[in-house]
Amino acid sequence: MGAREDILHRIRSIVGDGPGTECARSELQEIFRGIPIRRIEEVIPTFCRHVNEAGGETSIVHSWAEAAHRVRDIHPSGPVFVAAHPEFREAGFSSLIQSASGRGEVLEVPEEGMELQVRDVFGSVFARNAAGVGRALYGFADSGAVLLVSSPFECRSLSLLVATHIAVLHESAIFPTFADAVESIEEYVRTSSPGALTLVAGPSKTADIEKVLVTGVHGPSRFAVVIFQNPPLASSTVGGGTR
Amino acid sequence: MKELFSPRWFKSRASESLPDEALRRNIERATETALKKRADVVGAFPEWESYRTAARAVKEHVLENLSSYLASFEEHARANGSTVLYARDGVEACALVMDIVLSAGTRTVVKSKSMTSEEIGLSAALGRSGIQAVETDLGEYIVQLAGEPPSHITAPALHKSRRDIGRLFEQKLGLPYSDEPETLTAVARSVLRDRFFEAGVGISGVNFGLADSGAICVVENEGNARMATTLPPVHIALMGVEKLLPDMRCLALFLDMLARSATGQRLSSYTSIIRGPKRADEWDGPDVLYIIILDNGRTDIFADSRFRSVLSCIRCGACLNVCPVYRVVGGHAYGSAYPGPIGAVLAPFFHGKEDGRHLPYASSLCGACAEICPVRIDIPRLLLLHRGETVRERRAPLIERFLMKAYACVVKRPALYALTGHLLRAFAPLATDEHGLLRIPTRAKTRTFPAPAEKTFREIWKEEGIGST
Repeated sequence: MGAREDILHRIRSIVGDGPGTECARSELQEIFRGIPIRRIEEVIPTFCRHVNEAGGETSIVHSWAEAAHRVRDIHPSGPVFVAAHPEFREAGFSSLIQSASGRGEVLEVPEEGMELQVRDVFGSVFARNAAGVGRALYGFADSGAVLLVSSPFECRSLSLLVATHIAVLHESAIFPTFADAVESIEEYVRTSSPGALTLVAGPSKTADIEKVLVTGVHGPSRFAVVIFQNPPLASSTVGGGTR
Repeated sequence: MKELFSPRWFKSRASESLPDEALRRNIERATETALKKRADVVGAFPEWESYRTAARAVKEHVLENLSSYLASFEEHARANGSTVLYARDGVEACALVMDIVLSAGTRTVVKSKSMTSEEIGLSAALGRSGIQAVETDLGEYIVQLAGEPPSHITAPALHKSRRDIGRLFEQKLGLPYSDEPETLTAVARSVLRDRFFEAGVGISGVNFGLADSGAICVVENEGNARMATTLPPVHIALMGVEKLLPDMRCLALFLDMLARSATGQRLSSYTSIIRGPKRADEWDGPDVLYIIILDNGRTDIFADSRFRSVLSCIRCGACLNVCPVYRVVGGHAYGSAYPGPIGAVLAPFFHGKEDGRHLPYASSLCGACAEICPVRIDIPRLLLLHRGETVRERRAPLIERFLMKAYACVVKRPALYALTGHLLRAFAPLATDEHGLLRIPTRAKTRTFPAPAEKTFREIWKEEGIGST
């Protein structure tokens, strides 16, 4: 017998095939009925506070121009990689960042017809002092985390192989808890089928040496959320503002 | 033989580490910090107790329906383009990994922290075939450089001081000495960044597998797991067969508990939910994802309903932090990939009954581990079950068996019990000073044996009668 059959056979001989999906579903419902609903007062301020406590920073903006200035405030010198989201393009976000005061190239990644591999771009010394500006699908007040999704418009390296990660998030996409957003996330996954979803709470950090907190171990040493208050982001491709 | 890392040597290793005050200081600092931060975030989470109950119920529900959840996980993972493989034991799992690494034509493998890989000795197995498996979690990197196993489930290098690590980096990496955590971390970052790009295969563990979507979830703080699962063209995820959860709603529940219990964070920095290899229109991520589902004794635990609850463990390490035994002897004394209370329950299963039987005795049964466990595993009761089995199978030391027999013989006979009481009372003074005949275990060397009361209970009972106090 192969390993698969052997293991499955052992499990089946202990518990059988189980009572079936319908029964399992109702049993789960029953378990979840026993949990009180978590209430988070003042979702946006709580979100900001918890991002800060996780080592990140937040700011609220009302226009793309303001968002672009904010990006340059956070990362005044050094290259800026900007995700290729249609709504970023529509708003001319990368040119706005370019024209905001600050030193360093502004590049859209991935560029159309990009010849270089993403890993070559982000593996270069050039990227080590860069900021990556991308989108966050949702934010969660109770943890101060944002949800990133991989897509043709935003590569995973943009939020990982840079010194500073800046996530643009719509205010209306901030949920009290991750649990509250599960249905919306599942809906997004059904329609867009991303390879990976990543919850990010603060910068990369460690306390492996004498419990001393050090940020920027492997990933970004700075993490900032730019909360877009009004007007709302235009596109539905990222799913923000569906609530 | 003593070099061998095995629970068999717990007693001698524990007595070696007991006088090591530096070790104790390091452990105390780390565990105290973790416990304090945990207490703060759990204190601010009024629903905690009902979450614990629900989390345990979900885990039990998964185990009762394991064959259908496993089938569903496999079906969805395959549909998402992942390759699902099974391994009955560590040897099979290592062989599978080896095959994949060799066919990827690489000599460098980057690993993110995985207790399962420690359990099966994966790095050593790869090393024997000339493949360099580089640990990329800072703590794991430190212990790998030192040639030691990790000493804690979530903080592998907690037994080392900054000076130890500074000297280690100086020796092994040929760098000028520094004991600044920032400097040391920057060194590791720069050394390992190159490895991530050069590696042909990335290996990770799995915190949770989602049955309804075939996705795997990996939780971490440093970003090394994201790198290991994004940059190399091949990603191998090693998952214990018990790691499944029904769906994302259940994941939300467990994410609320894991980081709070482990490090006192609301959520770890990075929680990756990996749904499969990179999509055709995506720019980065692995081209292939192998998920190796490992048994390695888990179905044996599963088959024994008395111990089944231990499969609910989410490897948060809280029981280690709170354990008075772990805190004085440290993780290495246990001689097992899983130290501390939870390791003591697992040892007889993972190391065999003969070698593993020593760890269930490495506990004062104080119950702190059961109190802190986010999934309410009654660890002390399971340790007692193991001890009972050891006795029934006559594996306990001869002297212990003799003394217990003698004790049973005495307490069953009132007259003999009374006589023995009088005799012990008469000879007790011999045990109370340091030259006494009765030797007290090592830990109590600094304490004096309490003098027996002047009168026995029975004498007091006779004198004062029933009902008077």
